[in-house]
Amino acid sequence: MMKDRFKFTVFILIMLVIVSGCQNTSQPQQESQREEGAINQSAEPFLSFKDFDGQLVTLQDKPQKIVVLNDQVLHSFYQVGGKAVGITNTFNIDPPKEAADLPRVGFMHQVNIEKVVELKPDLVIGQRFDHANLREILKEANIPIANLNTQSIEDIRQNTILMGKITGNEQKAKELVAKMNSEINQVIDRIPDEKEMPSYAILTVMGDAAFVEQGSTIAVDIADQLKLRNATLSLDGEVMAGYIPFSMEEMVMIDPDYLFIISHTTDEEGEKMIESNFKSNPAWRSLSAISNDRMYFLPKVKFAIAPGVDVVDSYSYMADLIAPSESN
Amino acid sequence: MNKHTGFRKKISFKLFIIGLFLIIALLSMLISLGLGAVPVHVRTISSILLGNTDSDYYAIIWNIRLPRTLVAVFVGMNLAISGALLQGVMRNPMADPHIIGVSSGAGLFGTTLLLMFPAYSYLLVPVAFIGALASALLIYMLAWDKGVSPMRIILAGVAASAFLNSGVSALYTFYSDRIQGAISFMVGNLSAKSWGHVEIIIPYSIIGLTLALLSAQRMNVLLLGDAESKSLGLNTEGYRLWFIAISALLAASAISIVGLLGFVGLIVPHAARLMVGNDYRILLPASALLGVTVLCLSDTIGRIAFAPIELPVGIIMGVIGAPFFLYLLRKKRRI
Repeated sequence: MMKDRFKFTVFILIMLVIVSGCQNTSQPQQESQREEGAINQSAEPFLSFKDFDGQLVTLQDKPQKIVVLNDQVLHSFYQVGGKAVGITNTFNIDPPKEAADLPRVGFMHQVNIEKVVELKPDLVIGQRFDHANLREILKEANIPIANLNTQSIEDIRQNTILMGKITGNEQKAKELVAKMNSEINQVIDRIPDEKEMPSYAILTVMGDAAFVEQGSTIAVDIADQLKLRNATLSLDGEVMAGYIPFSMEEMVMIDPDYLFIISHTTDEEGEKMIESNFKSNPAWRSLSAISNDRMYFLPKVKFAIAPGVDVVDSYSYMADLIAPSESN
Repeated sequence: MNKHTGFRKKISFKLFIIGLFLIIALLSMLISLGLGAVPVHVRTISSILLGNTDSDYYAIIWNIRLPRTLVAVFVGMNLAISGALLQGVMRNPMADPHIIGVSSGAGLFGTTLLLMFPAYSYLLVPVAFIGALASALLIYMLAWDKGVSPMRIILAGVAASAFLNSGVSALYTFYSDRIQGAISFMVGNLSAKSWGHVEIIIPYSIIGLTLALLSAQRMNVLLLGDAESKSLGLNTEGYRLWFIAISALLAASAISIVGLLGFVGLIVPHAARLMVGNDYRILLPASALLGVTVLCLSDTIGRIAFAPIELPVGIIMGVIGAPFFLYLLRKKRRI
């Protein structure tokens, strides 16, 4: 009797778990249906686009109050003529002068939703993936969120054009991008064509760990366009989000002509990390880039943090390292 | 006669303690609702709760602070009850939901989704829930040998958790540039919790709490030891599985929503035990209410201490809860 009751209750419990599980997984579908419904209601929206999370964002009117949670697009946002009503507290980047006194809404990766909603924005600009979890709660407050991406040079172009559309300054944004492309090409033209492209590796330092950049990142894109060859592409193994854990053996094997180092903490800490972990290693010292004095630390603000349309300065910085101009 | 009077006094005192815990839990909920990065007058809050949708603060109170408080209530309750049940089943005061692999399973599944398939991060809750229950089931099967002994579960749990956690570490190594997106899940965070999360956790909480309270007397028998509880006619193996299943369900539902929140499942039931004793009919509600209090107050402190910068609730609980627990431990003899 007791056994039967026990089995029965366990069965009920399992059924409830399954029912609740179905309830959980059906939620996103309901959300997308709600979103579609909202879009169907709109007559002629000011702007409708897919953000970098692949979500459809519909703005009925031109946004007047925008909160920018994405530190890395803030400067570009102001360059295309945008004005924010709230920004994040940040250690990485000083905000533009016009935004210095704006209300703060917590850190980029730990956003204070209450502060965001208090500002009554009609649009929130976030970061791809990082702010996907805010979509639902902002939807309840009828606040659209557009998540942008800041990983590559192409992302910078797309962000600038999109923010131009959002702020009603599309023409200005296009001009900025055209100017950026033209200046980038001028820098590229400075680099002489060589029969055999010099190879490079970009070492990224994150705290006490080191990785090599293999996929498309700002630094990799710039180096590739400056007629260098990414030596890490010859490494076997799957690309893991663009980064591969550093291996001294592999570094010796690919032996790049240039070694660029970027720190994701501070430039000084990156230099200290290389000093303490690698400098005394004979294998490290045997690398061509080290023996030929072609190891360079790249400033974080130019290469690790998306510099917006000012990225041309990053191109110039690297170009001066690999092909110093006469003035230098 | 004297015996009866003494017993009644004991029961009355314990009920008084439960009443006190209930009042403190309700107060902590009100504090959680009343305080935040945006100052809102008490009258405005009460009018919003009574249906005033025209207030400027409606979205902040109704759509942000209230669901967040309710998630804190249910998560605190679920983890505390889960920990209390496991400490009983294992007859080990150091047992908590980590022991049965719920955290490591949810951690591996959740982190895999967030780092490898971030575009599907909206599936985090069900995926972490499946991971939590799957790892609990795996550990139970690994520990099975014509029944399970608490020691075998603990050892299987340690081994399986180490294996699953190494998977999480590997993911951190390969996806280092995306770690930021998974950190709040790994620490435990009540930020951005909405009504959707409340709807998800409520059925688990009600079912788990009800089943746990209904089985409390059997837990008391189980605590007597296998030989004695069998002689009293209790199916020890069946009830051990029963309590582990309830614990796993409660912990999985909480962890899948707020992330890998430690501390509550380990220390809250232990602290409650120091105050009300080992009778599970009293200990379970006391643990649940203390869990509510600890989580609501910790989250409130995390929200207001450095506003607008928020500190994840897991950090606050460790900073404030641990010293309080140590204080209780030192006073144990006087309680």
